Amino acid sequence: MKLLLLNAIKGLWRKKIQIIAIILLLMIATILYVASNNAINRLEDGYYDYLEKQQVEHFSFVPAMENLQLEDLDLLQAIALTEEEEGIVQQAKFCLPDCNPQTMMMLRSIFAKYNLQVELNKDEIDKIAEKHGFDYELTQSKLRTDGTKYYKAILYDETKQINQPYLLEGNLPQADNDVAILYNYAQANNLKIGDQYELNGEQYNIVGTVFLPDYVYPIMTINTPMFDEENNNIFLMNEATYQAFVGSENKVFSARFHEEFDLKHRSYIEGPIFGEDGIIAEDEINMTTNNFLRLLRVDTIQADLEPNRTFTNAFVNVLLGISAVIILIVVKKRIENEKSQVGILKAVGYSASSIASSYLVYPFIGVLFGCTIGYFLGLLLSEPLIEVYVSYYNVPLPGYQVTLEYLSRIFLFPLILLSTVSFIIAFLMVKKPPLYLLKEGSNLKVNFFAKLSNKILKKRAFKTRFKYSLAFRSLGKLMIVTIVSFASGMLITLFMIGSGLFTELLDQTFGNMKFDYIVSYNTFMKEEAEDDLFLNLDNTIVKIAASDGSEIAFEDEITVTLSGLDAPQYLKIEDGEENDLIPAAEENKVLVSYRFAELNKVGVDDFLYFEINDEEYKFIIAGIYQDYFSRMIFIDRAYLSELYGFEEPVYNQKYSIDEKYGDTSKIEDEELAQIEGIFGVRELEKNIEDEIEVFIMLFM
Amino acid sequence: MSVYTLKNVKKIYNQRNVALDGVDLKVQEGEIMVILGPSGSGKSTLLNVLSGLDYPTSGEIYYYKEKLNNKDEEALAEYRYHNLGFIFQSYNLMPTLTAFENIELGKTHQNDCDIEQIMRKMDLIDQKDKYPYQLSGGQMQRVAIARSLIKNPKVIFCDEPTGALDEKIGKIVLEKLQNINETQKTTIVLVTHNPSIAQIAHTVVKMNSGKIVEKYKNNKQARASELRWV
Ligand SMILES: Nc1ncnc2c1ncn2[C@@H]1O[C@H](COP(=O)(O)OP(=O)(O)OP(=O)(O)O)[C@@H](O)[C@H]1O
Ligand SMILES: [Mg+2]
Repeated sequence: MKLLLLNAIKGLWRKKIQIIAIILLLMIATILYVASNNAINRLEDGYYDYLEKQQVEHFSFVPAMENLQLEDLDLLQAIALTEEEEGIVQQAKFCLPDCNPQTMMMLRSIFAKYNLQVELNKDEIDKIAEKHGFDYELTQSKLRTDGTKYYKAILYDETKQINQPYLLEGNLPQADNDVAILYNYAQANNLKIGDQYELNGEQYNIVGTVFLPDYVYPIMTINTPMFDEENNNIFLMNEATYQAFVGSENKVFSARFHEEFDLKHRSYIEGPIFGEDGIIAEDEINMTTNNFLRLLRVDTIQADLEPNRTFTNAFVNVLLGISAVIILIVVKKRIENEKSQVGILKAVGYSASSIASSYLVYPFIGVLFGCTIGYFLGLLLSEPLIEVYVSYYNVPLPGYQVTLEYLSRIFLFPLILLSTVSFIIAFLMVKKPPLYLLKEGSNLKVNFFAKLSNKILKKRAFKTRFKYSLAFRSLGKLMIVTIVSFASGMLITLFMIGSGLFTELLDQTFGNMKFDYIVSYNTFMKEEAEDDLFLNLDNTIVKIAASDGSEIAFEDEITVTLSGLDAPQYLKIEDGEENDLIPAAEENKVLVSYRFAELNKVGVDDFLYFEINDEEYKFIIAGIYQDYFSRMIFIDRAYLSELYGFEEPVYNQKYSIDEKYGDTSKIEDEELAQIEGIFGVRELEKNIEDEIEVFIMLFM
Repeated sequence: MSVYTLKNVKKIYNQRNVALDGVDLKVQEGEIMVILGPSGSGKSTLLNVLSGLDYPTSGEIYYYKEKLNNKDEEALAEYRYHNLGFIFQSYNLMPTLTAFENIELGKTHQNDCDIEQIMRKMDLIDQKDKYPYQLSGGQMQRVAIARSLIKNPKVIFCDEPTGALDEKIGKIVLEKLQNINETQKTTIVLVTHNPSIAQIAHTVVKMNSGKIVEKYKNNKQARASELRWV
């Protein structure tokens, strides 16, 4: 046995190119694996530790306003309501809790406008919190923008337990006009502690720099998906300073479970107490869209790390696969060359397995050198990798540490894989009878994969066996094809970006949107404006009938958005032949999407029935517009307002090109208070372009 | 005592090629048996069947009292491992190992055999650290002999050991085999088509078309060095 090993070791030199290739491949695989996993794991550990220490919220919510009670009106007393709002409240005093749906809707919009949801249902929330075991706290923030920069003021109060700021330098704000700001913003804008900072005519003193656990990825709104450390700032300030800050306010409850909550596998949709649609099971607290933002702010890092890990691990496996193929070829060639010598050894009685074992030298040497060098290089390389991640996110940098964690994965797995492959191929060749091996010109060809497939498929029909063994025979070819197609896929993507195909696609998408902003209001607006006005109301279909009156079966509870419109200037609604459909939407004639029509098997002249204010209404489908995703049903706005009991046409959404919506300081305070959200189309477009640029920079 | 006893052994390839056609034979302990015959007469087949490298189609083969022809492959490997040495026309040395290491490779089990001593006996001591490509044909064949001797086998099978060697070198190789037979009482079965080699045999067997056509004792053995080479 000793001499057999010696023979195999000495033979290494004759195949040095292949051995070096194996060592290099294993080295690269190990570097990749160790560097990425070490960086990701350490970062992840640091990240979860940090979230735990700073008591990051598990979810946030505002109570639903389904059951407004007479007492709730007391909350409105301290507020200076408009004349019209006052009228609704007076009306409500006589009918609560069973006012007609229109009054209820108006009332709810008043509560929403003045951020009063958080004051509702206090007792019920406490009960639910106790039942499910979570704490909750009010989080108040105000947002301003001047078009490029976003400023968010957060009310800091040292008694707060949830979402505690992580102080990097200086102090947290105590005195009036003291602020602590985001560390990355301070860095990017050369701001130091002690500096004065002017915003909207107000002077602030920077007293500290912080990370915020619920702003790991500090984006401000849903349409600023790119984190921009230069332009996104958050100010922590005391109560008085906060009250003086002008911006659109947001009040939500941040909640944390008492029990350990698996942050890694947290899902807002299927969490322990949330129903399928994200509504807390009791149906008394609605989740707000804030949770989606929160998902971006806190979990983006997780969403980024996971695919990176998966990709590197898959790539590592490809490299291991290639090394396995090389080792297979090396061993095979070696034994073919030593065929007659092996025959003599077998003639004098050496067993096939002991001869085959000696060829395990190849995987051992490959793993020993490749993986060891790779391991240390990988550890070294993981440092700059961590820096890259950390510079992108707002988390404290975990300290340097050497991990032995991957030793078994990086040594054992390749060793077992390559040894098995080497042994099997060697054994299959060597187990031939000695006379056969000794004979000149005998052929030792063993098609390992074909044999294996034959074994596996032994019991299958001949046809299948034949098919599979053909497939296995071409496994090598298949691998090359895979690698080539992977590489060419990358090339094609790069080519598409390079040649501007992507930009064209963007132009097409955004070109049809002739407006720059979608402005949503938290109340029903009356003042007519130049812009396109929409009244969007969700409703549920109660019945569908064909044009001849026969009922059409459908899945229950199709919720659609009834979108009342006039004659929009910025929005086109066309059918497949580019005919303008908008004129067709008058009275009870509606437009549905192609998708909707297909799903529910309806067509032009069929009927849809809705219930509005306890009465059933019949709508006629007058046109099918070319949009595959929309669940919007377009209808005349004046008609829809009337159906819902408004005396004149109202709207709660506006498509606008007015530039003031890009800079909240230019909006009158009264309107700002009524705005629920602004979606900047151009901003989103620019953001997507930026992302593509980053992608190009990464690869070119 | 006879080492091997063959009774009506037949070997038929592919159900038509009759390589051995009812062979009866005894090989005595400590003798040199030379098997002669024209090409294709079945000499190698006989040797392979005797040494357990191949199975006969029918008939019986005994190694002492042990019946060989119904043993499985593993048991035959075991039997070869403990008892047999092989020398072929091609030397089949491991190209990556030195002469010394190649000889050591034959040492399948622990014994007191001293490799250097055997190399000295084979006049190979100066070639100790040379690789096969640095050796002459005769030297390589002597390494092969030494490799088969190192485990001190009971029987050495030689198939055309001098086939690739010229007269002078061939005689040296034969002389070494003769020495081993004399000093260690090793039984040697040697297959050749060169009739002159029969002069060193104790027993000569002549084959033709798979049959033993003549078998006789040679009472006046010649020294290998004094052979008249044909
Ligand atoms: N594996 C085999 N398959 C089929 N026929 C075989 C096989 N091996 C040998 N034979 C046939 O058996 C017969 C005897 O062959 P064998 O090798 O024993 O002859 P030999 O006497 O050793 O000849 P040579 O002197 O040429 O080596 C020949 O006719 C040969 O063709
Ligand atoms: Mg022969």
